[in-house]
Amino acid sequence: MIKKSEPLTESYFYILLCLYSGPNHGYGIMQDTLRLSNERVKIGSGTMYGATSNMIKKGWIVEDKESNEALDRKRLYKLTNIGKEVLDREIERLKELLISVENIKAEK
Amino acid sequence: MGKEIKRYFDVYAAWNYEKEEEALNKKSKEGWQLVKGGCFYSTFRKDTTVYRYKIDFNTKMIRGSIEKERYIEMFAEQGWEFINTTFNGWSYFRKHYKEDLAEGEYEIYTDQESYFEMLNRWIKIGKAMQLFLIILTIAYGIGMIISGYMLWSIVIAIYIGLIAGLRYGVKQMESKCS
Repeated sequence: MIKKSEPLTESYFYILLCLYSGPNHGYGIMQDTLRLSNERVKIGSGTMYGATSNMIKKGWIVEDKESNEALDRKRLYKLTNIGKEVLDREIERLKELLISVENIKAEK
Repeated sequence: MGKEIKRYFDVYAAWNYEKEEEALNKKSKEGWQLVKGGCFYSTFRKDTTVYRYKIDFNTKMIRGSIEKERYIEMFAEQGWEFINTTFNGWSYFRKHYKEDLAEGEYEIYTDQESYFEMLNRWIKIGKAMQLFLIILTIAYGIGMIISGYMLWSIVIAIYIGLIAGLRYGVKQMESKCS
């Protein structure tokens, strides 16, 4: 059986998406997610910590060590190539879902 | 211990940790703020500032580490002040209570997946402890039969009690995962 890649949770999706435009810290990711989702998706600290831990373990994101040397000592997170691939695959999956919606509507 | 510091000897089972959170919130409104949380007793200081409290389970946070610094920072970013971690992995956090903030601002787990992940951290340990105690019980049982030390039946009875308690606890935690 071919291993199917699981859909991302909304929190995971937004974290990867927010990092797509560049490194950010946890609070920045949370704020961007709120803005992008029209205040709907709120990522709490426990959720954010769990997600970033898993993503670091899977190699989807890393801590941006260079920027950490700067005056702003808050940790920055950066998307890796693997993380970008995961995000791209997820975007393709979401597009496919919406295309299916159009197809079903057209069949009616 | 002056009137400013008080100790409460309230014990909460792991699967009732939300009840402890509710109690801490109530005490906070009454003017007593947690300064150190524990499994057998907690220490409070008199202070009229009102906070909301959250308890998180993660055994990786028992000892200090760079990862724990990252953990504390992630919570601090959203206004959660780290208080302490107990010897068995429960971390206490508090956040200033502001009337105009939505209730959602006082949650640390905002989706089901991450909340279940946290509960499963405890469930895994609960099940492992159950298994360990079952093995010990069998070992003591065999030992008792071979050696004839009937007093070991007391130890076995205690172990069986603990196994039953853990079984109940695991079931309670698992029921939260639905």
